[in-house]
Amino acid sequence: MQLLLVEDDVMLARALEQALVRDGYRVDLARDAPAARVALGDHGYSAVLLDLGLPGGSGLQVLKGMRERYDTAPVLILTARDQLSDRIAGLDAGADDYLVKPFQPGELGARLRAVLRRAQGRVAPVLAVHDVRVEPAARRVTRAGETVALSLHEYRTLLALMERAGRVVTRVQLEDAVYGGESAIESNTVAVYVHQLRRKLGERLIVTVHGHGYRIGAAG
Amino acid sequence: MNSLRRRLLAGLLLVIALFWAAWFGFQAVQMSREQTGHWDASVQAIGQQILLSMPAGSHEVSARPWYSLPPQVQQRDDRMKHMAYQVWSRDGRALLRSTSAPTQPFVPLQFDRDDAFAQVHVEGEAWRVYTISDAKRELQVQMAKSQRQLDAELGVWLRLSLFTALLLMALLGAVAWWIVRWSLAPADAVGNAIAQRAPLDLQPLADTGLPQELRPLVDAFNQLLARLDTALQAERRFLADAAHELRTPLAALMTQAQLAHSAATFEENRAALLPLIDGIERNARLTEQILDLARLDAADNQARAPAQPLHELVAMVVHDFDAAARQKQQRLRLHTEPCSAAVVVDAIGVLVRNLVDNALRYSGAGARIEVVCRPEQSDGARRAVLRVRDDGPGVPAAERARIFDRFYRVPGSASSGSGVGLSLVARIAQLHGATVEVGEGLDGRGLGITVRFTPHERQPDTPASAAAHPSAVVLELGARSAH
Repeated sequence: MQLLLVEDDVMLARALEQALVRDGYRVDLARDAPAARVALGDHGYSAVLLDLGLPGGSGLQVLKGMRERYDTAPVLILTARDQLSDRIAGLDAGADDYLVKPFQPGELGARLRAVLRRAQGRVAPVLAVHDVRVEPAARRVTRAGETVALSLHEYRTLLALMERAGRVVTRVQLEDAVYGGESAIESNTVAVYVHQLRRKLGERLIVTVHGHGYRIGAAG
Repeated sequence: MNSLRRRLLAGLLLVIALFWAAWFGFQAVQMSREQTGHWDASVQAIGQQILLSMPAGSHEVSARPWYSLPPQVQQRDDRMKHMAYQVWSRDGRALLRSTSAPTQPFVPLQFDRDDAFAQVHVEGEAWRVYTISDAKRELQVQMAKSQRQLDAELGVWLRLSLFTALLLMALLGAVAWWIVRWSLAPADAVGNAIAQRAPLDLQPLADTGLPQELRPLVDAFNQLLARLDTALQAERRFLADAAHELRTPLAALMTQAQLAHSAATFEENRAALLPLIDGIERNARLTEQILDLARLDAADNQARAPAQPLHELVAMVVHDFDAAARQKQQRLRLHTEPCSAAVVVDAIGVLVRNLVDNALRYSGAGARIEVVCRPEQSDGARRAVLRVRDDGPGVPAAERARIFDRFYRVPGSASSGSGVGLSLVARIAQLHGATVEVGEGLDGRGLGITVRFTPHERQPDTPASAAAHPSAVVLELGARSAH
């Protein structure tokens, strides 16, 4: 698999590259935003590891550019910015996961694997079921043509369901998609987000499959 | 207008000028009337004298040589030009006339009245004319004064008055300016006193001998200084505490590092490095928390915070602790309902993180920790509530009030904490006007901390199904591949 690592700190970039190569990936390095854009324009990557604090333009702009061009490659943000608002901004801009430096060496590998696993089968630029339309590139959701405001977690839940339209998605899978990893935490949050989605997008959009999970659209 | 002095001066002078102008106008009108009256009287007297001087049975005496005044007198008393008279007989013959008088009567001859005043225009000149007829109505004297002369005399008076007044006004302005400066000097004095202070001199300003008007300002200023002083003292204390708190574990780390360095075998070396790594993590955490505290004190922007989906922020942060909880076989449970609060996102992140971190840290292996975020009714309003409870050893009731003090650690508890976490929670709650309550945790044991936020206008409806939804039951039984 071909990865793009965008990181301006030379030592860190080299260390990360070594670790990734050891895990069996091929790694391209970009030192700043313009180089990243060039690389993204030339190649398709299985995943992008993106530092936010880059010279020559912010990493967030690179990410937004990618999504605007319908580049759906999974993006894992690596950054020293640990504030919650930064994380929300990164995820809202289209990142799949957000890792705060310094991180444990094993953590990057695990999160990368999770992101790659989740991203399989993600191709379509627009997802639509009934009168609901999702445009991941613009992070926009409309119902019968009218834009609907969804919070970050509501959006991620909907996206996970839409990407597997017609198939049952378990609560665990939904938590994995929303929070970026399977967790052992007993939480009712997925039910809450599904409830919110039903409230905003119609009661019949998401079907509860008792004993298994949720499904959007007719069983396919 | 930005200068008090200029304001005062401009206001005063403007008012004085307006009043003076009104008075001057009044005076001018009065003067004009008086002057006219005065002239009328003299013209009356002269006219009557002329009449009385006429010999009876006079005939026309028009064509004869005139006398003239000596040249010097003529120059000195130039008023003659502007006075003229005519004496008419009943049958319209001019009996007597002054040099400057026109040949036609000033006023059409009418003998029905004794005397009268009139304003006429003759040959392009305006005259004020006094006519007086004799008792037998055989004779009429018309005594005229040029209006232009009247106006000129009034004009002289006006110009003189105006000039004097303007001079006085200028003088008044200068004096007023000086008085204004002198009056406002105390404000300058206070300003200088403040400007000359050393940078961190927070002693109150002296208020002896202050004018009444400045006293409230100086008092408010002194109160501000007192508040700053308190804050500064708090900061200094905090710095001292923080420095101490950081230094102590660092000393221990140094010892560990030296142990590792002097280890004889590779195994010993690795063993010595483990607590070192642990200690570094703890120190990093402490530093992070101290920075968070410092950041908080600096930024007080809660007032403008928009409403946030609190339940999602909480969910995000709680999920960060998944790995840590798993390591200690702790069971973390999260229950949310949609709720919003006007909070600063980053600050709330710090608050939740420290609450959960605190619970995990002090609960021990295998403990249960429960996090709840939902709207609840209390004190007559619906508020967003965040509650973290554990079933660990808890905190004795006597110590509970103190756990929010900076750098306070419950005696006898695990020493892995910094003592800063809960003080962060308290401070952030305070910044948001939220209340913090300490009580029991789960099943009558452990510690429970509840944060109640100020009510927000619209709490989203709680899902009617959240508590009793069939899928909630299903969640417990449903396939969970995590374990």
